[in-house]
Amino acid sequence: MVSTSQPLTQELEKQQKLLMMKKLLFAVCRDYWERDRITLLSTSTKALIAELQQSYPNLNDVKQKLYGVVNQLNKREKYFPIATQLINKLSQLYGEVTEESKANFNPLDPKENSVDVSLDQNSTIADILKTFEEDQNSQRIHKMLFALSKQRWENNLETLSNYPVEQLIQNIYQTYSSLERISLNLLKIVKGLNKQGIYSQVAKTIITELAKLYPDQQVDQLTSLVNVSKSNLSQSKNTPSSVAPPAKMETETRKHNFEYNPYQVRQRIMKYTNPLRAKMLLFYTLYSNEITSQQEIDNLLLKTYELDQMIMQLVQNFRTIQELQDHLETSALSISSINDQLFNPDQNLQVIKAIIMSVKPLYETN
Amino acid sequence: MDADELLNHYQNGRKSFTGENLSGTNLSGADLISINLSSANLEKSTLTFAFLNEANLNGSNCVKATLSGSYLNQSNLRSANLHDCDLHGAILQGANLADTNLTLANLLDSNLMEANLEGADLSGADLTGVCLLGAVVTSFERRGEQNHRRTKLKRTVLKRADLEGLKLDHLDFTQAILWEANLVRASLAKANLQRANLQDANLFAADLTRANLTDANLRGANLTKANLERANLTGADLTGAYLNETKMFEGIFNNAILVQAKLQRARMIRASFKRANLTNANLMEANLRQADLTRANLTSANLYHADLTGTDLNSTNWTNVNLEGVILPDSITHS
Repeated sequence: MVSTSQPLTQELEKQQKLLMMKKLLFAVCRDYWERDRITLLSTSTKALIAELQQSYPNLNDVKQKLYGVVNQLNKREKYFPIATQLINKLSQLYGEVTEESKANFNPLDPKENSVDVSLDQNSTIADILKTFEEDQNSQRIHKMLFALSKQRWENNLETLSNYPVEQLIQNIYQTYSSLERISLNLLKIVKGLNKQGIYSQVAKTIITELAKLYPDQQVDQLTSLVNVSKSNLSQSKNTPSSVAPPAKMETETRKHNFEYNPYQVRQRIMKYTNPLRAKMLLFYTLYSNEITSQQEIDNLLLKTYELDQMIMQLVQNFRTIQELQDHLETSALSISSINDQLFNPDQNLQVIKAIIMSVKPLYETN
Repeated sequence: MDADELLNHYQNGRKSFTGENLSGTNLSGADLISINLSSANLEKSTLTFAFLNEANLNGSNCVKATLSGSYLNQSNLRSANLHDCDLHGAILQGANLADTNLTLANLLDSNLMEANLEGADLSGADLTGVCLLGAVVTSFERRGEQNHRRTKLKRTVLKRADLEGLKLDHLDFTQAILWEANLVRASLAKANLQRANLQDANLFAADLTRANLTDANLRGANLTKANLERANLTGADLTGAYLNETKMFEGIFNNAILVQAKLQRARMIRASFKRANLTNANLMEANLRQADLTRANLTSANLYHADLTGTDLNSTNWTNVNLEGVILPDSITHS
């Protein structure tokens, strides 16, 4: 799993982008190239934008000046996308409709190949954006893209509005090396939701559209992957237990830190308790509302689940550590009532303690 | 001897049941701590959640036995036959599993921390989600005894297994499944990973010196700061892999797929990339001195400030390449 180093690099990239944006603002407002990091960091973006608005009455002037600046730079292909982003943001300020400057405004030497590539990409993203916006499930698409990009679920529309779809697509394109990984992650997200039917459709739309950014990949196979239909759930339906889909992720507002190290959490559980007992308890807590028979203790079914996936699901399902503990205790009681020789209450209590201890850090980070 | 008999004797203080025939018995949840069952026959017996801590099972026959969730901490299973045995979620922490036959055994989510697996045969076993921290997997080579006591891991399933920091040098992982496995700082020098599936595995700072990774699947794998010196990755699939700052001195990547691979500041000195596909790869500031890029495909790759001094660029495909600041083979900087 690569995730251990990704958040940091993403953060660094974000910071670097901000710095680049500030450098451009400096150049446009004050006509010189500011390299000093400290000066850049200590000057607020707000102040620079206010200055900009004073000096330039309309957006076209800003555009012209900005692309003029970019054209003179050594790393212009790096600064070009930043400038475009800046223009997009400023256009809102100037009350103009965002219209990419590419149509009648091509500030760079056409021979610059890398810039052509990014332009291509930008227009593809614009296409995708349009399709998403016109989709009847556009809000759900937004939520899924957010989850894909930020590794957490967000229902708050206000928070979502701070992350424009376009930016999320860009971010996803930069983070995911293949459409396959996107699909796998979408599948994981869908599996954690209540409305799996609708969201698997949404996931399909997302894969079909994002495929435009990953030209050489098999779309059909991947869209069928996220199809969380009866056939995918049949595995659990073959058993006498009624395996309910993991509940309630969609109705939650708590922000989880999913970017934990699954190996570490699992390692802690293994250190403190019996892995099979932990899995059984987690299984009942997550998937089974009613425990009906001894047959369910048959661990054949349990072999189709992995401990770390169950832990991840657990953290997604329960908002607070207390809620989690309550549910674990209820499940423990039910298990003991079936077979108190194999599952005596003391042993179960020890398993609960171990699970709580192991996942606690994940709740503390938020 | 049946289960009741054994439990009676055990409760009356008898600990040694060497060579007893207990095949097919059900001893689930039984307290058998420190029992001596060496050379006993436990074939097809059921020992779910049994307490076998510090038990002696040396040379026992546990073929097709159910030991899921059993407590086998510090037990001695040396030379036991555990073929097709069910050890799902079992605790084998500190257990001695040297020279055991674990072929086709199911060890899903079991705890193998600090276990001794010297000479164990794990071919075809399922070790998905196991934790092997501190385990002994490879043994020191003894003169005249090469290969003899190495753990066998051919076709072993090690999906999401935790192998962080383990010494796995020289081991045979041919066609093993190490999907999303944690191999951070593991030592895999001269290991045989031919056709192994290492997709999305974390190999951060792992030592893969002279490892054989021919035709391995390393899509999306994290090889940041790993050591691939003189490793053989002919035909390997490294699509989207992270190879930033990876040491690749004299590594062989002929015919390898490196599409969208991240190779920032990679040290690729004298490495061979004949006919390799590096489309859209990021080679910013990579050191490619004297590397061989004959007939490699670099379409849309980013070579910003890369060093190509002495690089062999015979018939290399350069379509759309970002060459800003590149040091070309004749040591002239491209402006």
